[in-house]
Amino acid sequence: MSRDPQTITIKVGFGDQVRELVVTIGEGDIPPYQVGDRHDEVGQRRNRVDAVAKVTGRARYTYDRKGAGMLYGKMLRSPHANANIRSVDLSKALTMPGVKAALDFVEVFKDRSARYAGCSVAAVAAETEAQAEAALDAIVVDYQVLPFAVTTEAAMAEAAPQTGRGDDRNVSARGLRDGESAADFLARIADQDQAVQEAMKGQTVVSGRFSTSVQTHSALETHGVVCDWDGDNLLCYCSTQGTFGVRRDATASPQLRARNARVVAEYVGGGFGAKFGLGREGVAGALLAKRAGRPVRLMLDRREEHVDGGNRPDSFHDLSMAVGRDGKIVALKARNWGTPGNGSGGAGARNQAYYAIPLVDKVELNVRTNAGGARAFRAPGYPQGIFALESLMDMAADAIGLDPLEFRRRNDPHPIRIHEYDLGAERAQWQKRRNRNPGAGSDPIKRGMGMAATEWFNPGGGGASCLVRIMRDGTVEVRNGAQDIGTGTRTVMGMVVAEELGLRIDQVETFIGDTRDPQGPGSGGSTTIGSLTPAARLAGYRAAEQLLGLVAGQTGWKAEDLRLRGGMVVRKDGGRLPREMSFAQACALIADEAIEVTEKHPMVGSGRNASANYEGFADTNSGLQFAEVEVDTETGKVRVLRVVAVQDSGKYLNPKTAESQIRGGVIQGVSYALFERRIMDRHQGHMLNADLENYRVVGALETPEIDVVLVDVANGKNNTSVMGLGEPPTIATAAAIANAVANAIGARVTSLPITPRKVLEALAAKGRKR
Amino acid sequence: MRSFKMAQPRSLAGALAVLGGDDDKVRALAGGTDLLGLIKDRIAAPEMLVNLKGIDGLGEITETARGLEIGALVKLADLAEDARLRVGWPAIHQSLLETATPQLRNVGTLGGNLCQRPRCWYFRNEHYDCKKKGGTRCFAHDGENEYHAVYGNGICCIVHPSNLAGPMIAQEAIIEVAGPEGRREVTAEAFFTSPDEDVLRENQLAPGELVVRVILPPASPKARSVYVETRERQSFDWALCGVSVVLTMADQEIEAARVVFNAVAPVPLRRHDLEGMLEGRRLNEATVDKVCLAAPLGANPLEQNAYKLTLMKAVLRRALNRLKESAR
Repeated sequence: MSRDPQTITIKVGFGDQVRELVVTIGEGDIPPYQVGDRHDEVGQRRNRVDAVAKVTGRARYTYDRKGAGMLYGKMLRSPHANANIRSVDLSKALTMPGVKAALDFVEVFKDRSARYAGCSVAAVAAETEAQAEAALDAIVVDYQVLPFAVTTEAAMAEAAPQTGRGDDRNVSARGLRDGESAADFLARIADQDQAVQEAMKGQTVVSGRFSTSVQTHSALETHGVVCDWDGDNLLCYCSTQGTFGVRRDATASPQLRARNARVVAEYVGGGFGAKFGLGREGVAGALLAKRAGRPVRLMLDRREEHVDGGNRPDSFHDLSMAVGRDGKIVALKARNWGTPGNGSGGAGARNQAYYAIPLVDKVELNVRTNAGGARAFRAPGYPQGIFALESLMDMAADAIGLDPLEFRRRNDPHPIRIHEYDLGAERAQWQKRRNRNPGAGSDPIKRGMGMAATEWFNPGGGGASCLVRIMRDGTVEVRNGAQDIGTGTRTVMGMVVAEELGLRIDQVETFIGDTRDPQGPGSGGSTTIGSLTPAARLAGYRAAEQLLGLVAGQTGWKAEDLRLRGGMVVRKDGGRLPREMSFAQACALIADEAIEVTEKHPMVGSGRNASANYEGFADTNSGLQFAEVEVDTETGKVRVLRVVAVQDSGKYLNPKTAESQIRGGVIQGVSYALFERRIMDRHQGHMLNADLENYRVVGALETPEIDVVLVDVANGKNNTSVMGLGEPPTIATAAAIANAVANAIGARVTSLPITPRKVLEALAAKGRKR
Repeated sequence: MRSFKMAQPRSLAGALAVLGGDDDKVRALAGGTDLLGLIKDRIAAPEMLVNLKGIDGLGEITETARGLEIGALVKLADLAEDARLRVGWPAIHQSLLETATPQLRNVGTLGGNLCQRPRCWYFRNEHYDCKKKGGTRCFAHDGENEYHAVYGNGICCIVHPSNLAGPMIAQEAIIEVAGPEGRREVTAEAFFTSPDEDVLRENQLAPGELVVRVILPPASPKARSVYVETRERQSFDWALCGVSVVLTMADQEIEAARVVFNAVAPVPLRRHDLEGMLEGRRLNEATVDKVCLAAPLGANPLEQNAYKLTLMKAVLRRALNRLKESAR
């Protein structure tokens, strides 16, 4: 059926939306999973392979690594929100009991600035934690204390103190003139886009100001390392979502000059985007170990994690949307600003996403502040931008008298999401559960339902290899050096190999999180499974091919007629073989110790034109979330009763772990919607809630019923047909909840998190308007 | 965490002998759920802890002629399960169920709960030299004060952190204290110290003194009591506002009332004015409306906490409605 060995026809799609595609697949690659394929292992609901180890505490995380001879590393942090360091004096600390090494960060990192309270300035390693803490107190730092601005508002104000250094201005934006204030700039560009101005005339225009708060990642396991040197070679246990990135940092570091580095992260207690790279704490841990000649454990405590472990920027949005009589969006005007703290990245709120919006006039300002720097956080820019956009979508639907779901459908170009509207509406009982009369009734408890959409775009990339090893005794090992940060990577990597070998997941051994094994990607952008499983499947396929070749050689059967299934060698056509041969009997034919196959993620083309993906059914995967809430109008308290999450993500290799991934995204979204916010003090510039007491994270009692609806799509963009699932399930949750609250009480809370205070204030404002 | 020595007395006299001296250097340890946090946060730096848990006789709940006598070392979880408390002193029982988490209630003690230090984030941060730590300034007053006091906040804006303190006052508990000078009894109402009296402490314990027992006088058979609170998060959070109400009923009429709010002031806030409005009236919708409207009278909210005034009305309405319904 193929005209060229690498050009094939595949069936892609879902439900009754199936079509044939002619695609050119990578050299040596095998056809993607497609519509009509039957699998024994792939697509089954399997427990994650490390579930028992995790719940029994047998799994050893970086945090658990403690051993004889190990020292405790601790960092000293600046108490000033903005300061320059004149000098650091370690001499007394070095004489303290138990202290084996100390570092002056001005010397190590060549940086004299401490631009936020909690910035690390020095470190020590000592025999006990208490000794290390005592030694920190003995370090003398001479600070030049400077004025500061810790919030977005304060840093944007006229005559705000400079939060950065050199030529860095607090506010940066394309088109911002020298010396121009943020307010003047925004006024000057208010009507800059003539096309948008013209298009909005005569249409229904809705406008709003929305805002979200800084959210810290708050992973259960904090950042940190346990480092040990053997000569110039570094062994680094690291709580990371990028083992190879950490390795690269260690060998490239001018401070460490590791000849080689082995990074191990067999288990990781969450990352959410904050754990790429070695970081200051990693360099400090490794350098302390080198200087002391002893292993060093340096893990952040909870306070440090909040202050210095990264965060999602806050965001402010002035949005206007024009809608035509036909219910189609005409134009969107967006002015956004927010702070990545002292980091150099942008705030990057995404609110021009998904919908067919013909004209967009968007200007974004990045505001540098004297606060801990932002890092990538699960769908960077999306939950905040989508909260604002989807709030505005509901307001627009309301203004033109359309059902919010119908309004979205009219403006949605996504081929899969279009199908998901009906699916979700039915599952959520949209028509029945919507509050027809928001805010009405004598009962102080009001119910409402809202919805929002989500989308992501990552089928994975190259840079991943997998080793499959079939031992003569029948043992199968599947190895990759990347990490599983809790998503189920390890399990599905094993499942696609098991499928090719005709085995179950519990009949293969999986190894992950050690850079001695084949390369793998950092777990960011929802890329891990899309990058890794095509390599794993191909390696499994080639290993099976070799094994069947041995069988053919020994029995005289034709290898191309054979396959592995159900632990047996069988005929592809289902016919009977002259005699039975089990997988173990086949393995016994291996002359050496093992068949070993390493395959890379197949690429199409080469060099600059190389692509890791094929044309598939869709370039993005989509979803919808519906939230049902109960709002207590007397106490202002919001309870999320139920979230229906409809999600496509290409082929679901393991529906069970995929559902967990979606549940996790929803839970984090509920937390973002109702609780999480960094609170900065105006007087001295510290984060006041750098704990898990006043930095509230959703708990068991706040977790709603979560109803996951998986839309399985043979997407065909790689040989396992998957799309990334890490970020999309957390994007829509807060927006859906905010819309549900508005539907319940007839007043809109335009700022996240939706606290009792804000609900009561919104109700009071609504009362005043009457 | 800073190291310390630990004394393990077997008797109250032994404990008091060690405690006697400098309060900052020697601290009593019961459940430790508050004290260890203070040490880790570098707010307290005692050189010695006196572990009270080895002392006999402070961990029992007994019924005597004086009422229910509860040892200071009784764990909150055990107290919450005491059937006598549940029936006789419902407001205290209900507040216990709202306190902290099951894990903390399994460790925390009655005495420790009453004597815990405030949760104010400026007080708990070593970098802020606030009045409560001997400094000259209240940072919350013109700072981040969403969770702070709306009454009595002129000097220091903390809210008293104990859930139990309010209902103890409402149900007229007596607190027995032991110290170098012997034993004395203080009413719960007199036990808690407001900042204008002494900003450095939250109760009347003199250096070297300990709470050893709480005595709950028998409630009148005509009395009904209730505790209601609201908070941001249901799983482990502090009250944004709570209220304890005890009403003594004569037929349909309220003969005597006690209304005590918590989490709105540096000490539990007893409201004689609202009590006066209740007394002599029937507990009906009109009464409830009228009293609730008056609930936030006299408040002095700060920049970020005026919403607590609405919450005072809400919790009081719920408390009174619950008593009204239970009367049917």
